[in-house]
Amino acid sequence: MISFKALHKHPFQNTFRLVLSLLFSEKLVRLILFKFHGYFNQHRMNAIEALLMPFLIIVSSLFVKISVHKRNIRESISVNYPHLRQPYRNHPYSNSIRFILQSVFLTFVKKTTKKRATKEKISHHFYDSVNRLFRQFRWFDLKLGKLLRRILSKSKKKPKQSAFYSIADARVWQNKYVKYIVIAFILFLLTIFITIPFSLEAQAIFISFILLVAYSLKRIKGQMATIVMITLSVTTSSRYLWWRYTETLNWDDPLALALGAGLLLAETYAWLVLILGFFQTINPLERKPIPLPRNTDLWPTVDVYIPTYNEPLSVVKPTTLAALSIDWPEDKLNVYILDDGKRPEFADFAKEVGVGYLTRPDNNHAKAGNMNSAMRYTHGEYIAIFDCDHVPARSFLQTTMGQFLKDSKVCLVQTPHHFFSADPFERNLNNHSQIPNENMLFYGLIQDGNDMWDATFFCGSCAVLKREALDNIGGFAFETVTEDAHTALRMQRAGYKTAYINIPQAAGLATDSLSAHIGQRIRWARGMAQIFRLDNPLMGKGLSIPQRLCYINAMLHFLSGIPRIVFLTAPLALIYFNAYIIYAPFLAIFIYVVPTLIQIKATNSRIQGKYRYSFWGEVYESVLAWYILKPTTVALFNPNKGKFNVTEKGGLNDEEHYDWGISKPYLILLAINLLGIVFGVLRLIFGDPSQIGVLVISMGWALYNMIILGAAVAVAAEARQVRHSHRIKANFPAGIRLANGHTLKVRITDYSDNGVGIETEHAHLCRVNDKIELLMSRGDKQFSFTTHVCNTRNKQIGLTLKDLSLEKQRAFIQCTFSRADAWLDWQNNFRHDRPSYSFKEVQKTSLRGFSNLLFHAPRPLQPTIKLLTRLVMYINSFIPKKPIVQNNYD
Amino acid sequence: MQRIFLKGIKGGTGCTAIVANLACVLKKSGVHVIAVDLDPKSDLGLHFGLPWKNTQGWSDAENFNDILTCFYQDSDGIIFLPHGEKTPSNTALNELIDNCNKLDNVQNAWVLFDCPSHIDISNYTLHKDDIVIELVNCDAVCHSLIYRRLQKLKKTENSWHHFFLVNRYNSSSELEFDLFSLWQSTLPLMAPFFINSDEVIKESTAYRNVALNCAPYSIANDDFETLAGWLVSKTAL
Repeated sequence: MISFKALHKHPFQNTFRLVLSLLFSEKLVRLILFKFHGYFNQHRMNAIEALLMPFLIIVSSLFVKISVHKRNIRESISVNYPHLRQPYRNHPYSNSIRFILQSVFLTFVKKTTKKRATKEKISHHFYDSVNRLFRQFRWFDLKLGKLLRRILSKSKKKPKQSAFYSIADARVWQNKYVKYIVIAFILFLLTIFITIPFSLEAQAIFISFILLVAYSLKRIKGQMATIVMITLSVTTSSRYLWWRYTETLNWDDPLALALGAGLLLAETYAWLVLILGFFQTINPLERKPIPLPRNTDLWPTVDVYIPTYNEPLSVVKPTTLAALSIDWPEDKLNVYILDDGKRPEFADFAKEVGVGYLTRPDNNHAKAGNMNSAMRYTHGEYIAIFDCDHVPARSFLQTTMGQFLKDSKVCLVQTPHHFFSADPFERNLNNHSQIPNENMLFYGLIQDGNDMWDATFFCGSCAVLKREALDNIGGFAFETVTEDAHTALRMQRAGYKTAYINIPQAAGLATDSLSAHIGQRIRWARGMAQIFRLDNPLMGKGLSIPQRLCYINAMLHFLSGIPRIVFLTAPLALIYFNAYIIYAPFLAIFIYVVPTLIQIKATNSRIQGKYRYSFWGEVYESVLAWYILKPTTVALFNPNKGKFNVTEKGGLNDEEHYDWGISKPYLILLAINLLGIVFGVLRLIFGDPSQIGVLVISMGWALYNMIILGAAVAVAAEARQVRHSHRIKANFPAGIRLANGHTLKVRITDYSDNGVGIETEHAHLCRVNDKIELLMSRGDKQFSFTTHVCNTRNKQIGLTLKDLSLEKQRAFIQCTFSRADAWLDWQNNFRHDRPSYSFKEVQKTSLRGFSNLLFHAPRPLQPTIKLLTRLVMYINSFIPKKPIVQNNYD
Repeated sequence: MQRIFLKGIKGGTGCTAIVANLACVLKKSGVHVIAVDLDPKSDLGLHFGLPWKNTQGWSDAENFNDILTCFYQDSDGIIFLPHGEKTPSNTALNELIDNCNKLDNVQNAWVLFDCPSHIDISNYTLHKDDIVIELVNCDAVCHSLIYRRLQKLKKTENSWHHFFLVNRYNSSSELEFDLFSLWQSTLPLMAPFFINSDEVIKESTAYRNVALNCAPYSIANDDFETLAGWLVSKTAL
């Protein structure tokens, strides 16, 4: 009982208790007070809430059974309402809306366990039948593959000889008439396949048959299968084009006709490039080095040219030192720095290391002029050319010179340009050495294909030329900005042969920003257009037909600007203007376009798979399209305009930034595609239902374009480039000698021109700033370099080389950059293309492009974008979510 | 039986340590090795963990049967014969070398002789298949001595295989680097590799062991493996 003394002490509480005890039993009174204290003190409710809460519970207990433990309630809330904002108290209104929406969702959608079981049964049944179907299909597929393999292996009697040669060298061709008859017959057949109009059903059967054959060829290796694939692709694509020309132009609607004709021209261009590409790469030569005679007296004299204009000495130094260490008789190797910058420190350096230093009074005709001027002072029988950032391997001349000695008509041996730093695409997309880079296709495949037709391109660096041939054509061609390709063309016209050896024998820096990269491509494009105008490879004498075709394909490649833009905008014609640019029923479009595209993609993936992944070509092309459009067009009309610009290399991007200037055209394209899709959706809903099919196809195309454009936009986000000198991955043994005289075996994991990363076999005791002797071998010589530890991690040590003497620098270059095996494995790191995987990668990149766009948006737009994203996220938070699935094993 | 004579071109080139380590490498790669100390200093045993108090060796023995009791085996299974205290005559020396042929109870055993630098190699009776390795250090004295030796070798008829091997090479020393480059490009009979200077070779004797066991991750370890592999390839010829 309450004493009056106590009442006096806590007047309020005790009065309350007194009142309560009049109404409730003692137990309940205690409970209410306990709850009140709990709510007030622990849950920090205000006094009135805390007072009312227990009564609310008591009242509601009249209707609801509150026997569940409180924690279980909380758990079931967090399971069934996973998206309620926590703490719940802070978001009362929004949470209540979420709660209501989710409850509605749960009552209608939540499945009982019983229902799920029946569903599972049904789905099991479904999957079983699908599996069975799939198995039958596989069986059929296997049989088909075996059959084809048998057919193809029959025709290939000599396994060593390539399939191409077994066809090309067959005895049949010796008879002129047989040859013409066979060719005429094949052409006749092709014409029939291409031109005969089919009904839709017939076309569907025809194309599905071709796809079936192509599919079953997928697993058959060998060139014969590739040739069959190519034949199929040529047939389907030509047939498609024929159909486009004859049946799909809308002559009644001038707008549609104009736009459709534009698309058709772009498609014709694409078809031409495709056919020429097939021709170019049908049988890559894969030339092997020819050993040199044992007697070195028979080896010719070689001048090494290192032309430079504005590159810093630190870039030219390694190249010069490596050029000096090329394995060649010392009296027959002369290295020259051709300095158009006329810098005294270069002259000093040249004098110090004992190489020639050549300048000229003017700077006419840029690089070509520079080398022509140097040819007046040097007298070697051969000229090796390295751009000043291409560090040659010691084996460069040993690999290449054999070609000249074997055939006196050979005037050029080109080796691939290999870049040890990531190019802007690789760096900004962060896929260095994961996805073959842009120039891999050219040096890995196309040049080898060109070599087959004796149409190897001279790429301006990493090549050896015969002086006699150069003298014959009057030195390096200087009329165009791509002096290299033009020079080779002239030599080929003069009857000389060219060779390509696909063994990287030098490596250099890639361009370091997207704008520089695009600048370089613009120069190439302009140069090609200039050659096309000034010295058209189709005309003039001296070239064989295959050579002409290879050159034309190369030039066409750089005219890709307009067609690419056309493809990127084509679907919008229908969406915006209702212009039927492909004037055909939906089904016809579907049956003609999609299978043909699949067939072409599959063939290209098969041919180029190791060097270019599917869909990436479109990304690369889209980035360049807008920029090479103008210079090529200008050069086509006025070839003498424009000057040589030097590609800048070896720079740094201090800050991560977004190149808005560069990406402007893509942003516009992206915007109109996006608008087009939105507009298309509106038309789908409100427009004419008969157009749904065509609209969907157009929107699908626009969506694809958006993905490609997104990836192109992603490239424009310039990543930060911190290191001054690029680290090159390596894996070769070396040793270190610690300050205490102990030695350790290590492996070199990477190196740059002033540092080395090594890995010890066991945990080491090196500390930062320790002095360590690095021991590296070259041949049977051991070189020792004083280094300092700059960082350590478990088994890894980072070493910096400081203040090396020139002699030591040279030794270091010899032990690292100019190792014969330094660049050998660059093409082997990539697995063959898988189109679906590749498309996923492009998609991922594209998404990154979009998020980059938001992240890097200009400052005035930032608040709006932030607001919008928040808004979207906020709205998203109201959408009912699936309950969290928990595993209750009991 | 393959006999290999290792000898410093002058005193203190590190010959004994090489013998001990080479024996160890060969043993580890499955070759039966017998190391015989011909040097009156009698220090080969120390490398194999023989206590310094143990001075008995073949020179103290009266006849070959007594010598047979002087052999030791170390923990790696290398059989070795210490020299002992007395200074034997030239005939006794050659008698021992000849008698070692009788030890060939296992097929293809290798016998490594640690020869003193002061006894000229022509004092031993050598066969056609024997390999003589003279150890040099990269310094000016050895430079002169090598040329002297080469002249002498040119004058005399020698049927054995003779090589020079650089020991304690330190490529960070300019003189050593230059001398070695010179020797490699001009001298015949140079072994195409070298033994790197390594502190662990000194330290391992302090542990009464060979470098191979003390520092398996050192380059010296690799060097001895190279030496052994090279010798095997030479004997196969």
